[in-house]
Amino acid sequence: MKRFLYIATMLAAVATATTSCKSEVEDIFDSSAAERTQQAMDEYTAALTANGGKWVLEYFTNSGEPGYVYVFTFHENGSVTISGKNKWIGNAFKSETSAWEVISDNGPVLTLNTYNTIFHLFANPDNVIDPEASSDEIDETGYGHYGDYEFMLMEANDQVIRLKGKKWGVTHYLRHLDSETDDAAYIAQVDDMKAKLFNAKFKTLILTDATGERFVLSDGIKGVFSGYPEAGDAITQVSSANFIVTATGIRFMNSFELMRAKVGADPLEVKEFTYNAEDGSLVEVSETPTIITAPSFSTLFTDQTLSWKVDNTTSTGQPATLYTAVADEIKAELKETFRQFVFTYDKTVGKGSLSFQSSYRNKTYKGNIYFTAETPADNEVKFTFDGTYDSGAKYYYENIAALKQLVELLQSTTWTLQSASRIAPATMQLVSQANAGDVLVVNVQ
Amino acid sequence: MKTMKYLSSLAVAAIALLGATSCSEDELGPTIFPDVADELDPNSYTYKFDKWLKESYLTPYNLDFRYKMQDVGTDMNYNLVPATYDKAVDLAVLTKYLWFDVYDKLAGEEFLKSYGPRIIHLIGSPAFQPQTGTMVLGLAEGGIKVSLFRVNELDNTNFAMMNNFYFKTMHHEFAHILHQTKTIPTDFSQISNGKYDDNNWQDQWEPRINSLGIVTNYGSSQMREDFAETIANYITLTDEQWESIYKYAARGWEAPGGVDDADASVYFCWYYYKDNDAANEKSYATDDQVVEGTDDKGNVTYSLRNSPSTVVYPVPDKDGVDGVATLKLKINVCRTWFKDEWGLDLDALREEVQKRQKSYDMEALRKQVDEVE
Repeated sequence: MKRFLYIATMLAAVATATTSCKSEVEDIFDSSAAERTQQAMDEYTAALTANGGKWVLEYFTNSGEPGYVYVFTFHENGSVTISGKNKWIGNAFKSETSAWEVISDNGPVLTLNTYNTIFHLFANPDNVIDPEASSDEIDETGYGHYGDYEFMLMEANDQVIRLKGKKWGVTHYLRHLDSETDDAAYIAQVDDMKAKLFNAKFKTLILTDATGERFVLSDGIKGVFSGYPEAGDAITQVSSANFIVTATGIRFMNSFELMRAKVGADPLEVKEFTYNAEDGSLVEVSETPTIITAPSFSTLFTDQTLSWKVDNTTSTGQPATLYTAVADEIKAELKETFRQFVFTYDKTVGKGSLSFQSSYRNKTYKGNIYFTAETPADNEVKFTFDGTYDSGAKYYYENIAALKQLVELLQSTTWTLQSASRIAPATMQLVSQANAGDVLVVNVQ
Repeated sequence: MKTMKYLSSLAVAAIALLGATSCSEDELGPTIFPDVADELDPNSYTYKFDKWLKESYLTPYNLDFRYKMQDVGTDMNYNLVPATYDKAVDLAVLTKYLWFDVYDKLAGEEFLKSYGPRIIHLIGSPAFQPQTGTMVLGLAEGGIKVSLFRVNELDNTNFAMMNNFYFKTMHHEFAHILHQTKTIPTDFSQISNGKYDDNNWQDQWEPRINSLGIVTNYGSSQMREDFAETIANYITLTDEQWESIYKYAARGWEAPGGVDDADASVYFCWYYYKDNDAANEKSYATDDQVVEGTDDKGNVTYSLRNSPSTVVYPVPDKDGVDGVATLKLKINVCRTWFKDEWGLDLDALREEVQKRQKSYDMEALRKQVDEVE
């Protein structure tokens, strides 16, 4: 018993000695959570309005539609001017001012808290009818485009602010613009980039990775690529991803995962491409970049669905001279005004055709002189005219000397195909390999 | 034993010491919240409107009129967008004129100060409920907050539309606030007992609902909604609109599937044949297809507008409810409740609202904001 009491006493004494009155723990931060949140809000507010407060927003809604470029100018008085141009706002440049604020919500949040008709429409639950859609595509589900107008501010420096949509969770970027940037001019710059990259005539593009594997891409003009490996299956190996066209190139909302031809191989992932002005291709922002181009020039020139109209105002050398001579002879012989030469494909005879047109008063005269085209290389074409032509061409071919001379010139050599754009070569030059000064310029129709 | 007693005392003393060891109460430190100015910034883009709201709502009524969207203040299951600044200004000045000023005039300033909502939250879009194909026009939460939707569709030249989307909704939600303070009279709750359908109210043919003595489809969902709808519609609808409701309430309605065809999207109040006894084929006409005339003897007849020789017959009212009398009874119960419980004359309230909604000057109302210094 004595022993027990002794132990109890000692324990009590030790417990007393070790009891501490200090109920606080050491502060990890210098200030309270509320103060730190306020500080972050102040910093983001300052960042957004700094250096003129002008930013370009690369904005995405859902994975089924392209991203949209908007120019934002955040003013210190709590207003923001938003400018943009897309089909939802009539495909015309528009600019409108509304309110903005950085609030403490889910951390610091940028809220555009009064309705801006050119921007909030993507968050509107009312169905916004696609001006290009048919009436049976109207969707009244109450979700609209799944667009955000409140954004969690994730990180910022003076050039880029990363945002995350508060409701739908999509990542967006604000990229700083010079305060002197003209909104309309910047949006026009983006439009120019779209025109450089996508031409409705070219239905498919080719993505080539660092190993040389090629992927066929389609629907780029809609802002949502579908792609499959060229050596694979177009049905079972297809995937798709939406992207935004910026002033410098394109960026996917999420990584675009392309399945490789070899079943089970890791997919190819691409995220962002910049436009290479030197050759008009899209080059991935990566250490081992993939590139996106159109199919080869020779493939496009001999594509049976495409027609190429000769532009004699920019052609040079003998082709230009003979074009003019044809026009002059036809005028002299027949009083007709020569209209055009077009390289095309005649399905009825299954051959390439040098098609031409002239007119007199209200009547148009057409003729086709047939050829076959070989493509010795990706950028070469060689014509062989076998002397066949349709009835419309008969008189002209037999009586207009310059026309025959032009045909002879075309098949006398191999022509090198060139274009300033590898991705949308709407204009090509056929340069004679016999004489580099002989250049025939053609535009896709 | 002595040693044991000593040790025992020592133990008790140690425990007492342990027990007596106390931690002193901490002094409250400085606030952990940052010092943020709550004064309005005269340089702010929205300063004039914010100041007007402060002077017109916050100061007199302790009411926060929120027009800048706060989605945390909404049901996040809805997809909602903010109101435009201009529409918010219009609705704020109209709300003051058509609601607050009316109650101030008839019930005194203290009434809305005591019972009015503490927050009005404007939402630009509808709140769709995709599952039911319905949309929410307004919400009153706990008698504190009224949320108004579809503000971006406001047409300030069309008070019927504004009533339907906003002011009727405000009176409706305010009625909820009032009955959450003073219970709905039992007299009312018994009138249409058994006629409510909380699941399918949105699919009903409203004139048939009128004939059951319920003013709107929404009112047919629950008794408390019927109560709020009766008050809101009585105050805001014009005499002409009420005549139309009474007209339908007095009729009999039938769908091809019968009087109680729950799936019918349309009900009719005219037969082609008397008692609709045409063999194997029932034929109906809608009210707008029918014109009133007189026969050779001066008797009133009804026939098809497009075929005057085709006489039509009214569908007999077989629902067992005198729709007009029921509606009037409900209005009377509400009238009494307003008077007894709130000391308010419901008819005077209606008269004032009717007068104002027919004569408001939008430019003059907006000017209040424009002229804020």
